[in-house]
Amino acid sequence: MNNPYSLEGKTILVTGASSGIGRATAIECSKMGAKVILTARNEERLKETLSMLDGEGHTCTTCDLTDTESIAKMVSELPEIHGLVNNAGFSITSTVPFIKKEKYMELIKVNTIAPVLLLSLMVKKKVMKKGSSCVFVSSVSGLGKASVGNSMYASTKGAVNAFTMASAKELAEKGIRVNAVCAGMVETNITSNLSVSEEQLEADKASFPLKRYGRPEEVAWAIIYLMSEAAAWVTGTELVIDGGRMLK
Amino acid sequence: MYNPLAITGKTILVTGAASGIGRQCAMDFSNAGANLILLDLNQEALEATKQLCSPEVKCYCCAVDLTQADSVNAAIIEAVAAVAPVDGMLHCAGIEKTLPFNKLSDEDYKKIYNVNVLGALNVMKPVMKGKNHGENTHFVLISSITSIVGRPGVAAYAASKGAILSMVKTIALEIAPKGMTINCISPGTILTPLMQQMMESLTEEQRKERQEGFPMGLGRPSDIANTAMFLLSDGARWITGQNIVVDGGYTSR
Repeated sequence: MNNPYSLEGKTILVTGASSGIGRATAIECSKMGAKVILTARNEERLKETLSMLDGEGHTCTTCDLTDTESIAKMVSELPEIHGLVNNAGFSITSTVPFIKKEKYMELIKVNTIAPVLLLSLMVKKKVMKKGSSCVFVSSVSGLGKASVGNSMYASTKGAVNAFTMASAKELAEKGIRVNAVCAGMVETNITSNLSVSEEQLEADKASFPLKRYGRPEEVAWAIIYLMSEAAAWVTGTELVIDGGRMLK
Repeated sequence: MYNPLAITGKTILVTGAASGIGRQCAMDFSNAGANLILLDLNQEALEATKQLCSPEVKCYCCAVDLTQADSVNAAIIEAVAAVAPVDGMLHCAGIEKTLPFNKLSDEDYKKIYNVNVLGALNVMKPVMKGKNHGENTHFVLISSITSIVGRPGVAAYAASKGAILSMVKTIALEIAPKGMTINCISPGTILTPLMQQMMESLTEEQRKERQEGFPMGLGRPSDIANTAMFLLSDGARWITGQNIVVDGGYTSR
C-alpha cells in the first residue's frame, strides 16, 4: 500500500523530546520509519523517551539550547538531518502589569532565539540540505489567540510564526521547507500541572467544539505530514491544530 | 505498516473527479486503499478516471450536475447503496472565468458561485442525512490562494473560493458535535494536464510571468491529493475549520 507519509530513510531531530508533544512526535516519527535524534536538557527523561521508540538506530544528545556553544557543539556532531522539529519551549504566565524583564528574556531565549539559531546553524553547516523540512511547534497564541496571563508567551510564538513565513520564502531557493504547527490546548504534563480544579478543567474542555483537549499524538501526526514527502510543495504554512477552539 | 494517516477501507466521495486535481485525488486515494464515489458532469471522462484507479477498490461513477440539488440527492442515495456510507468527501469541482471584474456578467458570477460553492453544499447536505455517512466523517473543500491574495481578472472565482474559506469555519462548529471535521485547502498554481496545455501555449516571457512567485516551481496534482488524504484521515481529527495553504511558498512572499 502506498504511504506518502512514510519517514523511511529520514533522520529527524526533535528538540524538547523529554516530554509532551516532543516525546509523542519522537515516538510517532520512529513508528513511521524515521531514525530519530532526541535532544533536551534532562538526560534521564530523554533516555526514557529513547526507550519508548520503535525500531533501531535512534540516539539522544543533551543540549542547552539557550547556550550558543552548546548548540554549535551538537550541530557539529550531527549527521545529515532531513527533518528538524523545533519543539522545545515553555510558558511563564503573568498579567501585563507584572511582567518582569528577566522572566521575559528567559522565555524569548528558549521559545524564539534557540529554535531560530538552531535552524540557522544547521542550514549554514549544511546539516540540512535540499529536500529537508523544518517544523516549528508554535501556538495559536502566536496568532493573537491567547488566554489571559499568556501575553509574554504569545509574543515569543508570534515571533516564531513571522520567522516561519520569512525563512520559508528565503530557504525555498535552497529547497528547504519551513512550516509551523500552531497548536491549541493539548493534554500534556503542562496542562495536568496547572493550578485549576478538576471541575474547571472539565468546564474548559466542554467549551471546545469537539468537547475535549487535543492529544500530543494528534499534533505529532500533523508534524509527520509536514516532514514527509507528501508535503513536498508545502512551505510557509501555519497549520492550526486546535479542535476548532479558535473559530468562534 | 503503522500509518495513522491512512484512509484504507474508507469510502471517499470526490466531486470534479473527471479531470485535473479531482482525477489525481481519485487515483491516489484508490492506491491508498479507499473505496470511491466519483461525481462529475462528464460521464465519459469519469469512466476514464475509473480506468486509471486501482482495480482493488470499489469505484462508483455518477454523472450529475452538482448545481441540481434533487439530482445530487438521488445520486448520493444510489451511490451509498452501491458502495457504503461516506467517510470522507472532497469537493474539487470548480470552474473559472478570467475577465476584469466589470466585464464579468451577473450570469458569470452566478454560474461560478453555483458550481464552486453551492455544488459543495448540494453534496454535503444529503451526505449529512441519516445513514448516508459513516462515523467521524471528514469534509475537505478545495479553495484557492486567490481566497487570501489578489490576482487581477479572477474576481468571481476568488469570491467563490473566499466563500468556501468562510463557510468552512461556520460548518466546522455546526458538525463538531457529531465528531465530524471540515477544512479547506488553498492550492497555488497546479500543473494539471489542462494547465500544462495552457502553459505550453504561452510565450517564454508569459510563461516566466505565470511561474513568478513560486520559489519551488509549480505544484503537482498529487501535492494536493496528499494533503487532502491527510485531512480525510483520522490522523487529522483534531484539525477543523482551517485553511491549509499548499502553494510552494507563494503566499509567504
